[in-house]
Amino acid sequence: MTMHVDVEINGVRHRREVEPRTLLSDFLRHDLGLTGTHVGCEHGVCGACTVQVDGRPVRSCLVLAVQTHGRSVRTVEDLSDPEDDVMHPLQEAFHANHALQCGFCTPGILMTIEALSADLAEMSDAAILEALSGNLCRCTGYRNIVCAIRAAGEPGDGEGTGSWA
Amino acid sequence: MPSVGRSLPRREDRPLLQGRGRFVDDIDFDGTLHARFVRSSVAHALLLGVDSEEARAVTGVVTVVDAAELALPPLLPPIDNPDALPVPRPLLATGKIRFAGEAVAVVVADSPYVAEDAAELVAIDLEALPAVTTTAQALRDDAPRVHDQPTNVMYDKRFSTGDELPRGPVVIHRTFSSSRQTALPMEPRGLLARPHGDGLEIWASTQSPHMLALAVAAGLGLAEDQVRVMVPDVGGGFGLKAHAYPEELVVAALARRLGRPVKWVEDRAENLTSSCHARGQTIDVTVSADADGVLTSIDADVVVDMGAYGVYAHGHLLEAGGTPSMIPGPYRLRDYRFRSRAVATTKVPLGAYRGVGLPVATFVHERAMDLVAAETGVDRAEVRRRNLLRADELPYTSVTGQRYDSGDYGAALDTALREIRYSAFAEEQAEALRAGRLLGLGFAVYVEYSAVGSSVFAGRGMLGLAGYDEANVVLGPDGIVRVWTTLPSAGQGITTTFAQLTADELSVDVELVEVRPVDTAVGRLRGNGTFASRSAVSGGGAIRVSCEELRRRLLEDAADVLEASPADLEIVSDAVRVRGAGTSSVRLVDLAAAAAPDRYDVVRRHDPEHPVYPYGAHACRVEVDPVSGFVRILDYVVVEDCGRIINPRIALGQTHGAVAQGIAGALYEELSYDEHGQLQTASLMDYLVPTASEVPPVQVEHMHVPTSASLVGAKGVGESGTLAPGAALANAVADALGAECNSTPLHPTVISDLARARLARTAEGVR
Repeated sequence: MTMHVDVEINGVRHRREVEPRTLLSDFLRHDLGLTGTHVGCEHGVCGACTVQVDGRPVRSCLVLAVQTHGRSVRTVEDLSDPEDDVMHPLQEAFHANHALQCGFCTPGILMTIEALSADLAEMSDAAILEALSGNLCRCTGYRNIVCAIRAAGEPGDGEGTGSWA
Repeated sequence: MPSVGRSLPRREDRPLLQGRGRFVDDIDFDGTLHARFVRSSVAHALLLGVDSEEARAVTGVVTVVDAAELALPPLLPPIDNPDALPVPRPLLATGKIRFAGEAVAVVVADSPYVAEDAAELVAIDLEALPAVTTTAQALRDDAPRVHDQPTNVMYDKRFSTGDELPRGPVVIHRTFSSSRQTALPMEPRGLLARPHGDGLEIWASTQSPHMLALAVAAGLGLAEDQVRVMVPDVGGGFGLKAHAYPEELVVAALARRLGRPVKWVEDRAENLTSSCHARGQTIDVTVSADADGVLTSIDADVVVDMGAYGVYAHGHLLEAGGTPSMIPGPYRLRDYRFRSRAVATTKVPLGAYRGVGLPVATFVHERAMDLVAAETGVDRAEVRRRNLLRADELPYTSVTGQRYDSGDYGAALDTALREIRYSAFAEEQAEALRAGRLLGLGFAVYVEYSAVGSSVFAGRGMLGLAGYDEANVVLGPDGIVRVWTTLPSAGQGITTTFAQLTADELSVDVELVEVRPVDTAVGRLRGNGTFASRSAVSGGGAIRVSCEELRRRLLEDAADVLEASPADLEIVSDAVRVRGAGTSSVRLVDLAAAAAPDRYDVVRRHDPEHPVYPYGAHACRVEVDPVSGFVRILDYVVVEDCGRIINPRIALGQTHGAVAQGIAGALYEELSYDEHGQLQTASLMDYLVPTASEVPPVQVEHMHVPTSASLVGAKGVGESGTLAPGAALANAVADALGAECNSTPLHPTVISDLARARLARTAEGVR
């Protein structure tokens, strides 16, 4: 049995027939080839699979593809184009601050934080830590991630001050 | 401009940031089949049969295979060690099940969903046996035997410097323990195998591709050149992916038999119940010192809970071999005895995790130092100074034969103490205590071995580990220098740092260097792979010797063109030129265009003769909440010597990450089993990986005492940060509580009880 799903993904409308049990993460990765969204635990803890649904961060391993019917989904592939000289400010800040190592958790973190872009400049360190609390990173010890997020909220080259109280 | 020493931005980043990374599960071919393993939910049982009839009937299922149908020999780590019994591991459980999570059968279907559905329908007929869940239980005479051996002790090594150890006058006897932890890379294991000609192409998330290729070839009865392993992006390894696993061989065999690509990607539950665990030790130690706190002897009884099997190719000797060899640590010790045993239990096999054995060794010697200080009344920093090897005593061969190459351990300690403001602390602590707050300060000195070569592996009897690494450096007709090595990139930044090293070794622009992903078909390289902090030392060494030969050829050929002696020539950015002679030069791209094929295609090997010994000191301040038992880290200082630093920002990132994992082991992470051998922490809801809120800012200070043991001057940086956090935090919490903390992780329930007792004593006016 399949169900119809009509969803806008990264600005493009997709109409597909899917098994109702198909996870959004699998739909994105395997049906649409958007493999930038990674699956780290399949039980909603690690946050690697985070995408935005109607602008809000959502764990795509806990959502069925059919639940996005009529909605708008945004994945890491939408943040910037491979041809762009300059990436999204958050991506540039992660690059400048060495905020990724293996890079597996990175798309989920970017999509979590990007949803808060409008508030970044005003966010305290505590608020940034809180915002990151649903994303696990095993490589970096998080410090450079916090620095990058802080830098992305500041004017300048994205390198930031590197400070973290 | 030299490239080494600069924080060049990482080349790896852009595709990973843009969602264009390519991990195993991102690779797809038409007609790819999906494997799902059927795993035992019981820890110990006789396996009577596997009924897969119902599973086979599911639409989309291609086959279901059990051990009988697979009919392949077990994985037997090639261990030649008189103290070790052989521990063969069936690819699929055969006759007996030895841990909950062991693969019993495998379902192959046209979609992962169908494979998972069908796997639920496979019935395992078994007769349960009593689980063996602790080493204490496993060592009892009447304990069930995990293997067909008269004992559960699969490795038993004794070492002593003499019949009688000098004892006393101060004698401290304690039991230390370290719970099981696991590496938990964010990307679980995965492998995709595709038939190709008469062999196989494999894409694997692995740290040891060349070892994996050999293991697959041997296991499937193929020639070495019939198996090609390619390593795409790897989402972290930390040791867990340094092994060849049964599942990987099974998937390779299925692809060959079915004639179609077969993919297997484990889920997180499988990762926690079938990828290797680590640590898991209990150590009984008797430490003797004189009245001034100078060590006179150490006697250690190390018992490692190895789980049901070893790992390929390291076997079951990793923790049991590593820990006792480094319990003497950075200290002057001549009288030492140990017994070290690896004991089989019905739990997940123990394997590598960042630091292998050495975080536990550091915990032992650094807790011991604090206890000696308490017993003798000598200040705990001063006790260490009296025992630390001085810089002028190095190189120094330790009592266990470790050849500490270079360093200044005392300077590392003193820097850490200065940065943590040790001298001012006692007063701050007393004042806080009067206000009902529990502050503690702890520190730990460590020394580590890295970049183990073939002679050391051979000495341990680990014959399946190459110990050496190779590089293939090629100047192409397009003027680009391409580098292949035996060391995969898994987040540690070697696509960038190897380019920096290559650029400087050849004196070319770093922009002209391209470091390629590992592919065992390129250059017919052989080598170890990346673990034990070896990439910079061993891979860097291989790059260096390869570049020396390539440079020699370039200068020789340029000498003909320029009619000069090679000795008068130098390479500068993209050309060879006559030194000081202005315009007389030939471009590398022109040399390459004119050269015979393979002329600028060089493969060289580096096999580190001795390990290298990074060292350092960690110090921290903590506050303990007496109600919750939560340990808040107020300050954390690292002083470390990782040798010549190739890329400071990347080296710092390695230290940050390693310290975070060390903190995790000290305070949060524990794989705990119930008495039936069921893992109680089999999800990330239960296995507590720290989030951003639990990891404090870490201050890192570098030292650099040069070493001759490393061709490129690097000592290795991947693991060192994991060695000392357990000891430093336990010492800090013990200091805060006025009580001993001798096991990790430090449980909040235990801590809050001790904290309340401390406050009660204070209220009564007792110190």
